[in-house]
Amino acid sequence: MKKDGRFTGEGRKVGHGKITDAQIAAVKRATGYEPDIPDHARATPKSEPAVQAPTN
Amino acid sequence: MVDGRPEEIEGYQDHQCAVLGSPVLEWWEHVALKGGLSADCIASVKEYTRGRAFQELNNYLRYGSVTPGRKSRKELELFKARIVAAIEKSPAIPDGVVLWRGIGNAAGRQIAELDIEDDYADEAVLSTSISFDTGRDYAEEWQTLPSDGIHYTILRFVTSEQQKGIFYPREDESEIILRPETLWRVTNKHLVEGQRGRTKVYYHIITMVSTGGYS
Repeated sequence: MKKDGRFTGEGRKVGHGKITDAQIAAVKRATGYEPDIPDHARATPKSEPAVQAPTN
Repeated sequence: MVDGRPEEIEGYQDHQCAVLGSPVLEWWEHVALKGGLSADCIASVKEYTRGRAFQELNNYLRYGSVTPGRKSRKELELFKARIVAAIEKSPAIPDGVVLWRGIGNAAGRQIAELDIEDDYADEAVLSTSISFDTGRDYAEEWQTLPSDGIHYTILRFVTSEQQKGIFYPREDESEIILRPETLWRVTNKHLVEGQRGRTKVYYHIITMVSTGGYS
């Protein structure tokens, strides 16, 4: 890798970001399985508790 | 095991055929035959996919290099613009289609080190194939130490977010070309291990999904 972080050819890392549910669905559709993506990389964490209405 | 290739890696193609189906074969007809493109754009796509001009253009886009006696800087910019115009006018590829690309030995290791969540882009026109075998054939081996075995890096692009590209079939390859700077996000990495004689062989399958953007 060059000093400025660019690869020497055929592509480079240009940043990072969260993976959306739609993107996960596309991968699942393409590969037949859901990719093993950690919560911190998901736009919607898997372990995020569902919002529930008050029950009183 | 065939020629040092792990058996399980041969299976990648089967699922792809089921996902892709026939729509891909209609893209080019839709774009070129129904008048969506100028003759110059069509000629540039043909030149890119059928000749050696792709190397000239991509070396220019990646390194700014111009080959003496060949296309000038201005001609290469026009060449790129026509290809980009053709891609922009193409219909979106259906979501969940897999496009394969083998990486050469100069960049294989660095790209294999990308992590989940990383965004990846190439300054060049991105040549991919709907055939896993074709993508694998373009991958070149790279090594860390001889004792660490032989490594190959293969990108598995998964389309999403109305990803555009041009399918231009020819006798020996089912190539799909994508715009320079198309932005992909790594979703998972898969290491497939095989054996070639006494040497371990590793295939780094890096799966990336369309973001819908450009770097």
